[in-house]
Amino acid sequence: MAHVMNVEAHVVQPSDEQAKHAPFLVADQVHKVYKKGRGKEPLTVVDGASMEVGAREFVALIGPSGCGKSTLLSCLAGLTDFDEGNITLGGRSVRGPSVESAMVFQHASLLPWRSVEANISYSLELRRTHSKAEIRDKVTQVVALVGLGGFENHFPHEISGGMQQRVNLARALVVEPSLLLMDEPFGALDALTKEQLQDELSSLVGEIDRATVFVTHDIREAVYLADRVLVMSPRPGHVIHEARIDFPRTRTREMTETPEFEAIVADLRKLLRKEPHT
Amino acid sequence: MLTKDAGAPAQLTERGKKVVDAPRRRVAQAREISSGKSLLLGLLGIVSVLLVWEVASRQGWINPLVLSSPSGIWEGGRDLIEQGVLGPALLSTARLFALGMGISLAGGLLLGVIIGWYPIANAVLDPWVSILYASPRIAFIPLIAVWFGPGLTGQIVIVVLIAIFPVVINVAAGVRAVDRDMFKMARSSLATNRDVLLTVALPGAVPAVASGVRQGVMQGLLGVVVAEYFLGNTGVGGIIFQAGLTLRTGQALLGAFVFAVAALLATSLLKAIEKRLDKWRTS
Repeated sequence: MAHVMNVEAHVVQPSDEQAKHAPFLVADQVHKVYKKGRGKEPLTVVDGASMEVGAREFVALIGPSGCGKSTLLSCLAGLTDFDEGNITLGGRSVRGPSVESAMVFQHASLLPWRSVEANISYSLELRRTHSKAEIRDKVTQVVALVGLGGFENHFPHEISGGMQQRVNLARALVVEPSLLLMDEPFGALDALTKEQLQDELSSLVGEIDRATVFVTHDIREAVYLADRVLVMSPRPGHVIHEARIDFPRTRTREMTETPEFEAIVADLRKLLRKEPHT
Repeated sequence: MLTKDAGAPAQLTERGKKVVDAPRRRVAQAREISSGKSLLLGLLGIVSVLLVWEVASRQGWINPLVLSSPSGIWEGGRDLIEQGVLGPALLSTARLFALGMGISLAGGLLLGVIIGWYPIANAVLDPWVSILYASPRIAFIPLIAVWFGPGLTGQIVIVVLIAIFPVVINVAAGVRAVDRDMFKMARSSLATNRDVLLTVALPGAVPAVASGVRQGVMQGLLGVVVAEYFLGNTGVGGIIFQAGLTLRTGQALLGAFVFAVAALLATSLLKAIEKRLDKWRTS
């Protein structure tokens, strides 16, 4: 599991602690309105959301269901156009999918006719920047990193949901993005698999070591994984609170049973409950 | 616990009380027989029908001139081979089928992908496909004879006109039905439109293409028969048509039998291919 990836591919990684929190991803007053069909009221989903993520920071985005957190994430990824506001990545504005970011989707959306290996290499192949040998090397590294060794030649229908999500994660990591976006990647898994993958992701965060935005509705998951948790209001969503999680980077399950952890979770829960539905 | 439960009804009987069955209902059962048994029964059915047919014909219960008989079909076949007619007829029919089907598959795949992938092409061509597919195309035969002559060209046009539509429609539907989540994934992987077509839409359309090809081949066989009946009276279709007119019912039935066997072979071959292509599908 523990192979360090070379992450300094196309972005200079700031090294000191201060730079860790220097904003790399900046979203400023993002608005997203869905204009439904004729005669229907347009629906404001994201209403002036602002956030910053440091170049090596893991930020979790939580909020009640339907609050627009997935839409905001999709905007950050450049997959969804937004109506007002600005999103910049390393100072450059995001318009459309970027080579700098990669997305881990809630549904693995693996190509069923491609093997695990070929699914992972897919996003790298499409960039047309690496030779076949280079792609092979990178895939081998990522396969080891996410614990897919021995499953390279399996097809998606032959592996479990947890394994499929590992492929999903590997497919994002293999392009060595500066910004890793994760949309409730463990939301559809059973409780045990979910905990296992949380543990593994948690131990990987130090190695992944890049700007990460993790959307979830699971408060404990957010606190367990993130350096910082952002709370969104109910729809139309905007960021209403930020909680810094000051546990050391190497997290353990025991940590989740401490009173400090429980206190943070309780505070966040109160916040999510309190916000009136509008 | 278990032994106690098991002992309970026995105790009741010891006390002289009747053990009453719980109310039962004839609930649905899975209705399946083994494939071997199924094959055997199918064969038995065919053989007995042939037997009854033969006996009925020999006993004069039916008019052999109208209904022929299994031995009549056999004789018809022997006569055709002795006259040196059957071989060339088979070749001629096979050639028409190969040419017509080749054009239908190549053209159908190309048209299907274009219509399925490019909305503008779809908007322009879909009305034509719908009108032609819905219309009884056999009605065009006299016109085709005028436009393309009564020979091979006209026959091929008939086969293509009948066989191409299932291919076009299935391929187009398959290409069009790109999974939304996969499309999103491909977009975030920086796929171009062409990448999506080649790596998501086309592989995803394989099952639809396979079933389009299967339907096309079936329609193509029909097209061959129709073309041979009405344009030139060639091949096996021609034999059936002529034999029917002259009341040689044995020969006519033999011709029909040849087409039935061809259709059966084609479907089972294509089904086997479909099954292999489908191996990655879940469930």
